Amino acid sequence: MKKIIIFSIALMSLPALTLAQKSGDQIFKSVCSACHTIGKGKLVGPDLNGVHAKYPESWLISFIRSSQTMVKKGDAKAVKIFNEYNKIPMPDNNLTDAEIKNVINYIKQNSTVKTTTTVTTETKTETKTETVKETKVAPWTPSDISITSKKVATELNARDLDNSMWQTVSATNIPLAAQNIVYPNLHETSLAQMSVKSVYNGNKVAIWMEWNDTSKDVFVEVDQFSDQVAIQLPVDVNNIPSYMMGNAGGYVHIIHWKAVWQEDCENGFRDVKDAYPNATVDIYPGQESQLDRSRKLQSINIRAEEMVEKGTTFNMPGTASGNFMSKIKRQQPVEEASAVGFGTLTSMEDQTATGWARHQNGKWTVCIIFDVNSGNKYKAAMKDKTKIAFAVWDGNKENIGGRKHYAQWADLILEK
Amino acid sequence: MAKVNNWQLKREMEYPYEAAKPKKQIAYVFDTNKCIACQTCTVACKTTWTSGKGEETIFFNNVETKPYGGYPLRWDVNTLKNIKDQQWSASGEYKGSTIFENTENGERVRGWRPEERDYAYPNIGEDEVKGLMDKGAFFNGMHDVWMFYLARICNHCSYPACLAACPRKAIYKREEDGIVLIDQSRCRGYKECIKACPYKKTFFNMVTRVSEKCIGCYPLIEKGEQPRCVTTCIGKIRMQGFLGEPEKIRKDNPMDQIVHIKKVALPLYPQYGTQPNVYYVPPVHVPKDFLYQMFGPGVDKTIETYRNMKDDKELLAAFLLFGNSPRIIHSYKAEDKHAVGYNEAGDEIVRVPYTEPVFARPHWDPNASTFRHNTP
Repeated sequence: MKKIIIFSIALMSLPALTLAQKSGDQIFKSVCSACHTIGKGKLVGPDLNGVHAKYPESWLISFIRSSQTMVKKGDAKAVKIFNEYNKIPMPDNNLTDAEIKNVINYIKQNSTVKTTTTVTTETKTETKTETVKETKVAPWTPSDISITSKKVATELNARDLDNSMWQTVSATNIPLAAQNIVYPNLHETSLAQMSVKSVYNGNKVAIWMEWNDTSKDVFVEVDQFSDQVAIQLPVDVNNIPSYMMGNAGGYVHIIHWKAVWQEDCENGFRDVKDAYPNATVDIYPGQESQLDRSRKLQSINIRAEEMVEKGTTFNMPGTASGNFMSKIKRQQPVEEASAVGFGTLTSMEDQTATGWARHQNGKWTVCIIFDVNSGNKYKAAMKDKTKIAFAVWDGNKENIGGRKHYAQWADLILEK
Repeated sequence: MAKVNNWQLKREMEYPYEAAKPKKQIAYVFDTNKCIACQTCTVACKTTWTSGKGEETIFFNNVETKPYGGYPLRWDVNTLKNIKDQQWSASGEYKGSTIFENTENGERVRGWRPEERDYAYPNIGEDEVKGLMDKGAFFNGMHDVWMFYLARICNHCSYPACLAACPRKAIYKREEDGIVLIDQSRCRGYKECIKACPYKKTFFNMVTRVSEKCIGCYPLIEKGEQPRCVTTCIGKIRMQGFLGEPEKIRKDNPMDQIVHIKKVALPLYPQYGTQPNVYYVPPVHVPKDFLYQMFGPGVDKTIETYRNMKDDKELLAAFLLFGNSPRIIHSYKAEDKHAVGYNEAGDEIVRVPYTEPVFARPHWDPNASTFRHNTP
């Protein structure tokens, strides 16, 4: 078995502002790499290969600090970039001049075009651009963290969290950072890290995750939020997209678990009456049985499942529209979805992943199982390796949507 | 953030997207002076749109008593606390910040999240007046204390905060009529819109686990008919139509006449900056400071014009069309004896006399050889 490589925390990406002054390497990996590569193609933002040679340093410093200020001022170059990249604004960065210079130096060191000449005029910039080789895809390069999926011969069952095979697999520590790169963002981390194990049996891969979260949050109320976790895989291992939900042309396959879905599967759909035992209503239209006095059936006691069975969900708009969020009868606490960038997450028709979870001793343990190669072209397919990224939501801290903890791509190596 | 023009503030303001104006903009005029808080609108809306499971505490339309009422609780004051320097210049330009300006780090909108219990008392403060009556007080032509009814729906804002806040672009403003909708199949229930909307008119459905909002009765609008809450209003306080841009005013559009030309109806909390499209005739008996805060600096002129409406046939004709046709009135004419309303094709759809004719029935009915009695 290949030894699991565990890197020290210092090498990991930490959220900005935690250290006095950060190196270009640290900043690039923790902040910039969500949207940019150096010489590996476009993601959400441009490939930064040779960008140090394309623009004057002072311009780069202003742009990196606040690109939108420059766009608003009408800076021609800034506006051009903004328009070219679908008007997705680059978030402002609260970095010192020295830190920004560190980043520019890091880009310089890692660029294939190593030139120190500052080119200022438009025409010259364009000539230079041609010498910078634009790659269309981001090929495989090893990540800092590698998770080895141990080969097992048994059937894999997500509900079997106590299976002794998990004792034989060593865990990889995954540090988590607050998603503060795009709106809507999270400013403070409440979960520092998670522990990940993996096994596979030729057809299926199982990912076992565990993290400390003393409060078990299972809610459907407007002001409270459920705990969640998600794993993300590139669809094509030869074209690794942005770890932030993928990018245009770079699909990611996401499998998402929610504590409230777990509750739905374990104890039945969390209905109005479950959240508010004393609730009452006059009548739900379309439910004739509630008028049958002999049944002494109060409207509030008609469960959502019953409405689904009768096909009377016309006044449950989300459910009637087929929204996966509004599904009443749930077989699995997980959802398979596809994304090509921020705000594009879409549930798949073809749901084959399974999952299960448990909250015990102040810890969530979640297991997600998916196909090694499902045949669906929007799902991850792998031979011997792929990448995996993580997101964790702490419901207690109002984590929802983009307000989450994340971990960048790690390698997921299927043991031979 | 882009720069957009907000005519209600008479200035440019920041908004996350460029201005994209719909072909027509749905708008409403509510005359608060005529509302008796019978809640017929509330019930009409509730039975039509939010009678389902998970919608128990959702009211797309509600009528609350001001100053103390509010659904959800404190919807207005919590936003007022969040925006700065709510001052207007003498020329009517807004000097303070909107909810899109002075935002907190990384946020698009200055919002706040209501608590679940805030939705539990839709009619709290009903009929409660401002202040106590002194011992021995009597009615002397003007009440010592005041309250008024405020009917509220989604404002189908020109710069919606819900739309600005949605990270998935699941909220959109229809090109054909400016109605703001939440795509029920795309929403993932992040509740960002609920935090962002300063009018708190997007709601979370705990059964479908996605957000919902007033749909402007778009199936009716598409048929050329006014929404449920408008046509069921027994006090005829409401009219729905389409409002022109200030630079494209049509004199014969009753909405333009009321809002742009005579300026007798004002937006609710224009300082929020969303350019809301429900326009209110402010109550005439309420202290001015309260009204300035609620409807902006145009209040004095509005009330003066409203009080003199009987002498302004053009304006009076527009108001007479309220509640007299279920169909949308695109244009109107102030004829000698009648206010006449026309649909989009120019066909006459309603004719209302300025003075209702009086019919006198003699006490003796010769046909039936009997006296007529007014028997209750």
